[in-house]
Parts: sequence; C-alpha cells; structure tokens
Amino acid sequence: MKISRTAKAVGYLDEDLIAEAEGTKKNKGLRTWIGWGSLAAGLVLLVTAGAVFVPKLFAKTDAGRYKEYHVAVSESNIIWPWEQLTTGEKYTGAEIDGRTYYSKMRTVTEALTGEKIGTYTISGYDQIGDKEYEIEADAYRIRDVSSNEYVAVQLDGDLYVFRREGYIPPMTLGELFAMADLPKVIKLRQFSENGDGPDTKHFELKDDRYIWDILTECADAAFVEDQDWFAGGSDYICFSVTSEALGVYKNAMYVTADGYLWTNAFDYQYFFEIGRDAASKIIEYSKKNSSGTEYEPYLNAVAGTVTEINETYIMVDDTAICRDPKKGLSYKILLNDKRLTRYVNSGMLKAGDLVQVLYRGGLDEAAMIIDTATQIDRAYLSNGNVSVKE
Amino acid sequence: MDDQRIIELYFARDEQAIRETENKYGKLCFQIAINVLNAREDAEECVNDTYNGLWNTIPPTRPANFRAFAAKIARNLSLKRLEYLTREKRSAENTVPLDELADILPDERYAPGIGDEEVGKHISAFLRMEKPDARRVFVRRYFYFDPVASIAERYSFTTSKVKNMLFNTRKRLKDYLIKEGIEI
Repeated sequence: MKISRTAKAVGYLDEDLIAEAEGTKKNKGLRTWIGWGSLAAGLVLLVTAGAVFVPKLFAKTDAGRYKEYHVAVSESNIIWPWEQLTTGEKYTGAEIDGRTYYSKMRTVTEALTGEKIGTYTISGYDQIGDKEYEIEADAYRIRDVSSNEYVAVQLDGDLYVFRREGYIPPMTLGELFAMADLPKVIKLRQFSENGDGPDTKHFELKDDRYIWDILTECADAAFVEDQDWFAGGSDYICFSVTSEALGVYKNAMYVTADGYLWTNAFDYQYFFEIGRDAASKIIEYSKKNSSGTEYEPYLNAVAGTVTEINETYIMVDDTAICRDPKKGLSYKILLNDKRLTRYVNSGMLKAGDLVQVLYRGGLDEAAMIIDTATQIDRAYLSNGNVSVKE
Repeated sequence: MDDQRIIELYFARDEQAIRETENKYGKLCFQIAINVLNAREDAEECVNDTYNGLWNTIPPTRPANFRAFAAKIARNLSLKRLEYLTREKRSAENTVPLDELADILPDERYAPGIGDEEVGKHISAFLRMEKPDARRVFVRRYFYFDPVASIAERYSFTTSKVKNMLFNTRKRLKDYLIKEGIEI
C-alpha cells in the first residue's frame, strides 16, 4: 500500500494547528454522556454492548445473555451513492434571507410549525458523483423558536429542522431564551445524578415548570467560554434533552452544584454561570419531585448472523453471540426504510454475515419483529468477541 | 510534569524523560497509532519507537510544542509501519482515511521537486485561511485519523456535516495547491 503524499505532508503541519485540534477536545467528564447524546449522528467509538444494547426484554431477566462485545461504528463512514440517499439526507443546506442553515436530519410535525417564510433553494452534494444538486422548497417557521436560528423545510412531504450555521453563542441565558421559548420546546423529564449510563441512578421528574422559572430568573447569567470545563468537579444532575422543534434527541443539560448550566442541545457547547443558589434550588427540587426510573439507552441493538434476506425483511439469529447457544433467538428486521434497503440493494449484506442492527423504540416480543431499525453494521468475530470494522 | 521540564530531562539525557512522556502523552500517541494500524501490538511498538524518536531528536531539537511534536513522530512512524505491513501483507485491513487524500497528491510523481515538509507548510498556510471548525475537523481526520463519528461527537456535529466539511475542505485544498503552483 502506498501512502499518498498529502497524507505524509499532513504529518508536517505546523504544531500549533495540531495542538489546536487536540485542545478543543471535550472533557472526559462529559464524554460518555455526550457520546450517547450525539448518537443522533450515528456514532459510537467503543461501546461495550452487553448492558447497554441488549434488547429491553432481556434487560432484567437475562442481562448476561450476550458475550461482551465492542463496536466501532462503520455506517457513519459509508458514503452512499446519491440515488441511495433519502431526500432528507440529500438536501442538507439552505440559504435563507442571507443566512446559511444546515439540516438536523430530523423531522418535525406540522403542528409545531408556523407560517411559511418563503420558497428557497435547498442544496445537496453528491460526494461520489462530485455534483451539486438544488431544489426549491418551502420553509416554515417553527413555533416558539426564532427563525433566525431554526426553520422547517419541506422535503418530499416531510418537514425537516434546519439550524443556522456558525458558532454565535448567546452571551447570556436570557439571549438563549430569546432564541427559543425553552419551557415550551424542551420538556425536562429524565435525569441522572453524578453520571449517566446503565449503572447510574435515573429519575423521572414530575413537572419541570419550577426549573424553567428558576432559569428564567437567571436571564443575566453570563455565557462562559470554556472548552475544558467538566462536570465531574462538582455534584451535578444531567437531564436528557429531547426537542422535536429543535431537532434534538437525547442530548444533555447539566446543572452543577457549583453553579453552572451546560448543554449541547443547540449543537454547540453552551455554558452559563447561573450561580450556586439557582443551581442548588434546581437540584434540590429535582430530587424531591422525582421518582426512580429505568435507564433508557439511546438505541437498542441486536446482533447475530443473517439467515435470510428478501425484499421485505431480513432474519437475524443471535445464537453465535449468546453465552449459551441454546438461548439463541431469531429476529425479523423489517426493511421498511431506505436506510435499510440500501444495504441489501447495494449487495453489502448477504446471508451468513454477522451484523449488528440498531433500532429505536421497542421490539415486538411476541413475533420478535423489529420495525424501527435504522442501521445495519457488519460485524466480525474476533477472539470470541464481536467487533464492527470501520 | 510541565513540558519544558520534560524537555530539560531529555537534554540532561535523563531516562526519566521517557517515563514522563509515557505518563503524559503515551495515551495520545497510542491513540494515533491504533487509529492507523488497527492492531494493538503494532500500535504499542510504534509508541515505543516514538519514545526512541524523541530521545534521538531532543537534543538538538527543542520543540516549541512538545505534545504536537510527539504526536507528529507517532503519526509518521505509524504510517511508515502501515506501509511496511501492508507491503509485506502482514496487516489486517487498513482503516485510515488515506484514500480520501489520494486525489490531491497521489504519489511522488506529483510535485517531484518539492518535499513533503514543504507541502505540509502549504497545507498549514491553507488551513490558516479556513474557518476554525473546518480546520480542526480536517486536522482531526487527517492528522489524528479520527473516525468521522468521533469527530462529530467531539464537535457536536452530525456525521453528515463532518463529511461535507471534509469534502469541501479537500476540494478547496486541491484548488489552493494548484494556485500555489504545486503540480497536481
């Protein structure tokens, strides 16, 4: 194999450029949490699947069902041919009234959108064909959100959330509230204390109005530019932030006992000093007005060998990765989404392959049918474990 | 330990320098090596070679940024090892994104009169004109060889956005090098 000259030359980059890219790394205290939040982008670096990814029906009764295995994501690095992309994947850029927006690749229901802003050119790029495409599409306001920051663009009958490009953080928490009516667009429900993940205690908040009231009073809380901040320096709670209007699914919002609020719900790190008093009120209220709940992984997964492929489904049998082969089960994965059918159509998937299938929501336990799969990765057995090659 | 102090240990030929480097930057060097080689044993060997490389170059070199200097050595040694292993067919499948850069300057037949270091300077100059986000994403992908997904996580971007940023940066880099008279 020949290493290209460009690849070698990059090894001689100026050292400040190399250090700059290293220095912007998010702190370790946040990485795990943010990692799960960022799974919206289809990413996992290394994930021990045993506890996290096993389907819910095994969560309590048979947690040790699978051999431990590690996953390094492959799908996110596949560049699909243009014709294999969904419309939402194809058209990801918009110029609207002098501002550039990019697609969050998440849909928003019509009920959450307002009046039409206009018809604009939406662009897409075919990376394999090296060709730019443009279509005209209608853009709409999203209720309770500034159209300077977010709009909904109608593509192929669906409304997609688009976010304004560029790092222009609000200077105060009040400016963030002006950007979006947060109590209306974000419901704070699930949170965990001093960590996240399957081994942390998780809670369900009864009512988040008091928290938003406290935060509204912190309108003057200043934005803090600190890429190295980490939550682990103080006690904290972290809320799971999901917002259809903002195109956000299970991102994070931390409130720390030493008086800070941190969130990645707006695509960039937004970090405010709300003060110890406000933070302690929020933390105390949350603890007193919640009850314990189960950990909810971002995605579920099954892994196993493909035993059958046809036009409407694939069958996956997990006997090969079960600690006890007698407990092997077969799952029917419905191919009801272009993101799945393209694996079959492109010939990437064939009977006998070992795969991991990621899916949202639940599994029809009676029929063992998964109808919400979004991703299939090929896996490879290695030393008795399963790994997915990039 | 402070980087300057570690460098002083190298200058004093004190082997504690290696141990301090290992403590502070061993993980960083290993991460680069494993990204390139995808094999633990090879990566560990590369990291040890990196310590030797540092020992042999400091002195006389006094790096302004020791962390980046160590990362550079780890990267270059990892690529050399990858080239050797794949040539000898001793390696598993290569996973680093070298193909993505191949269109720009595929091999030594291109820009024959210019060294890799000089091309590197041109790329640095180009990157300084890029937006910070695009610059960091490029460096993460092609210096550190981070997976797209990992870069997306680091900067809270979607993977699609990262891929588009990389594609556009590569395109602009190619145009820039042509403009600068580098034969492509």
